[in-house]
This record gives sequence, structure tokens and C-alpha cells, in this order.
Amino acid sequence: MRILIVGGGAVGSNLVEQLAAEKHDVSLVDSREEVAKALGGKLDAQVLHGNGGSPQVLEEAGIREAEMTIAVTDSDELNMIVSLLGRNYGVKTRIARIRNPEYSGPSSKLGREQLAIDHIINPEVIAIETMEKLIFTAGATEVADFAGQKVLLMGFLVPKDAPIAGRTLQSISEIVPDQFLIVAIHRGSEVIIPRGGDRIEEDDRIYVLMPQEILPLFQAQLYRRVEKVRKVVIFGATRLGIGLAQRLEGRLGDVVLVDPDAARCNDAAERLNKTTVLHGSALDPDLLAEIRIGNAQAYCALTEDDAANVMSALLAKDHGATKTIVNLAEPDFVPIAERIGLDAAINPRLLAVNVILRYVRSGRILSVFHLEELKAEAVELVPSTRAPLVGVPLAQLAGRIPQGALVGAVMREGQMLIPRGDTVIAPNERVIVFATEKALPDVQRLFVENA
Amino acid sequence: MKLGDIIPDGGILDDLQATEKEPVIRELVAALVKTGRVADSASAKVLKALMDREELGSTGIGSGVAVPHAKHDAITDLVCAFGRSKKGINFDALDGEPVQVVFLLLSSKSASGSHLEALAFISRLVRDEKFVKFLREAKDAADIRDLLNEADETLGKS
Repeated sequence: MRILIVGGGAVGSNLVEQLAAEKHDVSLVDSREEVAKALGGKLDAQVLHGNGGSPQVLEEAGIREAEMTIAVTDSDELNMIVSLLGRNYGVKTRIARIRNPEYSGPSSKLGREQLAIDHIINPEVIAIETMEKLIFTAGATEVADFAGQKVLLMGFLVPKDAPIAGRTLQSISEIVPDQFLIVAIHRGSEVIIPRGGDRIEEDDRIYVLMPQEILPLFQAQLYRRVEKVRKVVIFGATRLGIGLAQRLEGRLGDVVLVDPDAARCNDAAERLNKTTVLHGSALDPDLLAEIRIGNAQAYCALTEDDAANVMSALLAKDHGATKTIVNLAEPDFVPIAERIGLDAAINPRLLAVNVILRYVRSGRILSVFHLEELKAEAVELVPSTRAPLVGVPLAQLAGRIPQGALVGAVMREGQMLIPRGDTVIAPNERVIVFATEKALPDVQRLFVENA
Repeated sequence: MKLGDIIPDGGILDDLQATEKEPVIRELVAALVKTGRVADSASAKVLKALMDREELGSTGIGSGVAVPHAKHDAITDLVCAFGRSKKGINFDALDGEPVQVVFLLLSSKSASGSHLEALAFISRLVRDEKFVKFLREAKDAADIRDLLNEADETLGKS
């Protein structure tokens, strides 16, 4: 597909990288000369320096032939103009990042039609929804859903006294058969795509596919008790911080928002009803003690300063907060944050990339979740009628499913099924595959004819 | 799958006597033996399979509900027993609260789809706190069966 991306920031450049690797014909426009130059040398795509709001520049970048525009500059207004121009040039699908709820929120005076945007992406909203899921799922470090939310892919930290710790997958599946599938084990710096003989160990991060209904049954295999979420502390009266507080204050009794800037505190207090807004710093141990951070089921560090987020989360953990979630703008910090004991890291931009990719992938690929740390992806696919995967028991394909890949789940009659050797996949059934980046192309080949 | 079909006559106990996990599970297995759906000779092994499963994490999923389950060769068709406790059961549940409503599920080792389907169905069902309250306050076994049949009708469609 021919795709025109405007904006070469973290979202834009990441998208170009992934889409170019998937053989899409991608061009990128950025108004900053240095950025355009740097990306041009690095990315496998046509990169232009120029104003994305200029028809002439967009024409040069191939908007006439483009089937999709993705406008992800830092300016909502520019993103809207790109989409409007895209419509006038006959671009079929227009995706744009819009942050300001005055433009895209429920009370916006601009209708969808006027905005000319098919899919509005708001990285903060996506991040807030993800954090909400993480907060209310004890132990979860990552969450994504598939098959219209019927199937969950979740990451969990295996605690010391976890009932399943020390057991092999084989021995677990003898007792709890076919309810979930552990698709990856992250141990230290090693990523294991496990087979039956592999063992779950304490401190592993495990990634699990399961029907969403099974979640509480699975949680009980990791944790003997799950505390009800009663108190959440947020550091940073940012868009993320205030947005999360707004979502949480309706669901639980005690939400505290801390920010060192008085003006931002005032603004937050005006926009929040039940949240306690405190002027101060979560890097101050006295303040943490005063707000009884030890009683909090979750601490979310959502300032725009990565270092402050990490440091304050370590402090909060030290004072007894159950789960710590940090906002990290720098993707390279994510694995480190987890290594030093923080529970989950959120990068709104990468989350936005994941969501945009879902709209780009079409046809046989329904959705994708990219796990940066594991260098792996979970992909929801539909095999074509005469694909090698169709019509034969999976066991017969064993030799063709590459190392590092798993056929994780099949959707049959609206229900998730964990495939076994004798499972036969029918054409047009949704299949969720988990694979390392290296193994993915070989697996995908099993879903199309003449492979 | 319909709950009404997999809970045999006599498979509903509206007043569980035991208040601890294992005796409760035993009570429900005994009820299934009485209905003929579990062979008497297999009951000890089935009980062990259910308790082994509990070892790997309590099936007390919170809000006063537990769904002990196991697969065993001695079982031919998917079968469920329902128990209601008026006193509350110490089930070592995820939320630490006592359990009043128990769905015990057994299936053959080869049945994978139907077992998971039934578990998922029950999990969806008990998410409705009002429904759980109705089960807790139901008058008798017949009343409970009516409630479960009703749930089959409404939830089965969605």
C-alpha cells in the first residue's frame, strides 16, 4: 500500500520503520530539515523536508497516489489540514493524531465529517486506557487484546510464592488444561518461546494468551491474594496524570495527584472532582509518607521527566506501593526500568504506533501487538482457503512452524481455543500467532497460498 | 452449551453443609455420584484431580464465587454441580472473602472446547453481581434451577 506519513517524531519514524519492513511504499514529510535529513539516511523510505500543510510538498511526496495518510506531527491543527487535503486528493483512509479534546472530544464543535479523519489517534487516551487496565489487574505488566477483546495477551511478573513457580508447562497443563497459553518467558535478558518441558521460575516475566473470562482464574495461579484497588497515587498533573485521575476518581475512593508546580495544581483541581490534588514533589520522602503511599495499590509517575518518574517510582516502591507504573518517553529506558524492579512502563507514542498499525494492516492480518522488549509480536491472522495451515492437524506442520513461533489461539464459534497437535484450522478462522520478529515471516507464509 | 443441560437433576445443593474447601468439593462430587454422572469408584480420583487444581491456585475468583474444575478420564460428558452455602465457605479465594456460590465442573480429558466454554460462560455469568445475589438468596433448588435456566436464555444469546 502507498502510505504518506507527515511528522517524523517518535511515532512517525517508528511507523515508517515497521511499514517499510512490511514492504509498504512509504513516504515521510517533516518540516525540520535536520530531522528529515537524519531520517532520510536511516529509513528505507522517501523522506522529504517541507511543510506538511503545503499541497505542493504533499504532491511531491505522492499524495495523489497515496491510499492512506497518517498525520502525526506535534500540531493537531497541521494534522487536521493534512487530513483535509488528503480528502481533497482522494486519499481513502486518513489517520491523524489529535490530542486536544476540544477538537475531537464528545463536545467538539467539529464533526467527524468536517475533520475528514477516519481514525483519530490520541496517544494519551490510549495510554490512560492501558494504565487503567494495568491498575485493575494485579501483577500485570503489559496488556493487549485480540479478537474483539475476547482474548487477552498479558505480561505478568512471577512472584516468589506463586503456585505455578517451579513447575514445567507440561505439568501445569496436565492439571489446568487448555485454559491459557504461556507464549513467552522473559528471564533476565533471555526470551524463551517455551515448550512443554520449560519451567516457570520466580521473577520471570511471563506472557500469556487467554480468554478474557479466565483472567481471575489465571491470576490465582500467580497470586494467593489480590488486593482490591482502593488507593492510587499519581505524580504529574500532565495530560496523562489528569486524564488518568479523571478515569479513576469514578471507580475508587482515594485518588491523589501530586505536582510541584502550583499553577498546574490549580488547573488540575479545577478539572477534577474527588481527587486530592497536592502541591509538592513525589521525590520528597516526607510527602510520600504523609500521603501514606504504602497503602496505595498503584503509583503512577506521569511527569514529562523520565528520570524523575523512575526515581520517584523507586521511592514509592520502597515506601510500600504495590504496583509502580512509569511514563517513559525514551523507549530504551523501558527494559532498564523493568530490570530495576518497576512494574510497568508506559510509552504513549509506542502505544499509538501499535494502534495505528492495526488500522494499516488489512486483509488477512487483523491486528498486531508489538512487544519491543521481547523483539516479538502477537499477530491475529486469518488464513486463506488454501493456505498450508488449513485443513491439516497442526502436528503435521510441526516442521514448518519455525523456532520462536507459536500458534497461540484459534477463534472458533466466538470462543478461544488453545490449539493442540490434533487441531485442524478451517479457512477464515481467526488465529493468533506469537512469534519473534525473526520467526514471524516464516509463520505468516503458512497463512497464504503457494507458500 | 447450556448450564441447564449440564447440571443433572439432583446436581443442585441449595444448602451446603461444609464450610471448608475440600469437604464442600467432596459434598458436590458425592451429589454427582448420586445422580449417576460420576462413577462411585472414580469419586476419590476425581476429588484428587479437583484438589490438585486448587493447589495450583484457588478457583475462588472473588465476589463469593468459586468454580472448582478438573478433567478426568472417568468422566464422559461435561457435567456441573451447583452448590449454595448459607454459612459461607473458606475457599482461600483471591479476594480473601468467603464463598457462597460454587459451580463444580468436570469433563473428560479429551473435551477441550466445551470445558473452556463452560468455564467462560460461568465466569461471565457471575460477573453480574445482582445475579449472584439472586443465587445467594434463592428459596430452594428449584428456584436456583429457574435462575440458571433464565441465564441460559439471556446470556446464551449474547
